[in-house]
Amino acid sequence: MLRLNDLHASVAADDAEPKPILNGLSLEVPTGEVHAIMGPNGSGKSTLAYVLAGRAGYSVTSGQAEFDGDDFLALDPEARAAKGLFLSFQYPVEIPGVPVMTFVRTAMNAQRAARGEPEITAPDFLKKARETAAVLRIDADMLKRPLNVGFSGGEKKRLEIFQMLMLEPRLMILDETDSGLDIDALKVVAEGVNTLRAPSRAMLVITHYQRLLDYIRPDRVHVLAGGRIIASGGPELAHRLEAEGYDAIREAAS
Amino acid sequence: MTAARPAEIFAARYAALPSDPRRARAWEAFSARGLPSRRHEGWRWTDVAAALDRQARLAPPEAHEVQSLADPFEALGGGVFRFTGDRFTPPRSRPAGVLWRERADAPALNGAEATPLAALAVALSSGPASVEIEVAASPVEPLRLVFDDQGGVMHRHVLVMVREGVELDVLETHLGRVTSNVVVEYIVEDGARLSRSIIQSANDRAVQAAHANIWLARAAALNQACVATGALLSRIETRLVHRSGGSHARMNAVYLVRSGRHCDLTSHVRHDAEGCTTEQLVKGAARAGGKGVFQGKFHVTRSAQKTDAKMTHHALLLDDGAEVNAKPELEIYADDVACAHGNTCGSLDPAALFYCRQRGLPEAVAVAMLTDSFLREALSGAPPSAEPALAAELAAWLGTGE
Ligand SMILES: Nc1ncnc2c1ncn2[C@@H]1O[C@H](COP(=O)(O)OP(=O)(O)O)[C@@H](O)[C@H]1O
Ligand SMILES: [Mg+2]
Repeated sequence: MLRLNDLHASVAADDAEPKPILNGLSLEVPTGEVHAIMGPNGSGKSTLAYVLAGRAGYSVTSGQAEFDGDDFLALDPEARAAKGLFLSFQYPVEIPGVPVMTFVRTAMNAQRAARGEPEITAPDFLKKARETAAVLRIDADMLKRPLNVGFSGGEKKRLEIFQMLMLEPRLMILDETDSGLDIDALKVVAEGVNTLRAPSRAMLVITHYQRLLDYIRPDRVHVLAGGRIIASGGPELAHRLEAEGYDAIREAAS
Repeated sequence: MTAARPAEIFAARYAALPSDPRRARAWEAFSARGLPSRRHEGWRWTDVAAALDRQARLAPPEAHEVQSLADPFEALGGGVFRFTGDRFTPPRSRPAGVLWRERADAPALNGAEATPLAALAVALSSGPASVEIEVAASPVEPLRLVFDDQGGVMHRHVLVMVREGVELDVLETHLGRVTSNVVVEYIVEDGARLSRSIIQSANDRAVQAAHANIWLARAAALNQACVATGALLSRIETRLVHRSGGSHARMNAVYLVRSGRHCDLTSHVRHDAEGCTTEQLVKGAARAGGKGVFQGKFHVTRSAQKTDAKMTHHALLLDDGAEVNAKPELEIYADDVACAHGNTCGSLDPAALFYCRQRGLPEAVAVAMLTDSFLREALSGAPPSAEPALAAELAAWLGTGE
């Protein structure tokens, strides 16, 4: 279970005063469930993702965030990853000179080492990579290229999900994974994501549009505005948002 | 007990050598200004006098410190010319096409006044005063020049003549244990191709200089690659002249400095003839307490029309307290040329670092991976014989740099 309790967080913009972005955010995502977070641009969705993943510059000023009893806020980003957190980035980073396969294998073995597990063997890794690439219709050549360098927006998103399937995390945060994907790609990626739905895993799907949620069906939908959850409901809430807009929800909430 | 000043030690050594007019001229060129210090143009960030003073105040090196350096090119075999402070050892068997001659008298040094340490090396090189290597046919294996002060003081001069059309692969190892000061001159004749790979490796108390003068004749080519990890003070200087037209040079380098290390890469490229190209890419990384220096100058004379020259230097400051000083310069007197330079100094992209850590890479592993990714470009295009050893130097530094 992911449990966020009255989370307040600020972002330190270059030398400026820290700017409060999350203002008392509370949320629970039990394992086995998929929750969606929707909210207008600038409402703090990515900030929430970064805060949970431990990005420098995003500081929690009060509140708690724990996953399966671990206080996440006390851990380094890599320790959170080893505990099973995966963030699919809204804007994945390019790393010249490091082939995708090398990167993923290094990441996988680093996580295993942190958990006291043995390294994955080269043949096992290759087999898993081939199977995963097939699920996501990723060309084997792409995995030999430097990570994200020269990839289209859609290819980058697909590669995020490739890494996610390879690493088999227990807590997944997908930050606008749908942006940059056409409808066919979206279906393929959603299919991949759905293979990870399991009683032992929790997922937080951040999105702008209801469209993604037709393919990754959430158990709960939360609306984020002004750094807080202003409304929560079942999948029908996403449809209502699509039809009525954020302002209507905001007014209803206040 | 007061240790003798380095300058006095050099003067005493000079006085003990047989007199020789060219040696005297080199000594005069050196002593006109003395040991380079921050007051001298071109040495502002590389104060040799101060470093030698500092070295003299340090306790003498422990035996293990003197011995701990190994030649990274050792496994490659080839014809080895080995130089120490007082001995020259030629290859055991003569590579086909290669001749050498030991000279008892000092060579004339071009531009001695502008290169005081090179002048000092010529003035103090003995046993022999100089070694001239002539390469008349392309050797099958690389030639290796290994300079090792072996815990003493070394001054050396070597001249390599690469005859017309010859392809020569040279691997230079500069091992700094205490003090080494080396000049290598390359005369590259028409259509000849020189690959020059350099590894500079030293301990914390070494003061080390490796100077090269290179002349490229018509349609000659140079491919130079270097990995340097610095010393108490190290200076690697290359002075290149395109002198007859149609010659090409690539001069790439990586410098890596951790705490207590200083590494200076200085180059001066003179385009003196039409239609020559120079492509230079230098990348460096510095940790806290490390100091890197890049000084690059392209001088394009009026007769060097159609010059195409590009100088690029990018440095990565890995910690607070890391220091890199850079001075790229273009001096152009011809009008029909394409010359450019780029120079940046920055830190690792925090977004990339976070991305790697989010995937589970410990911070140190992520830093090493991103630093490698940043530096690696400067080794692409390195002579194939040397590339693995150059890459291994880089990997070793990334693995051990605190
Ligand atoms: N690094 C940053 N520096 C300054 N302001 C930031 C930074 N990151 C986010 N913000 C601000 O925080 C607010 C929320 O941003 P974000 O979390 O990216 O929103 P969303 O993902 O919902 O579009 C915005 O007003 C944005 O300008
Ligand atoms: Mg966002």
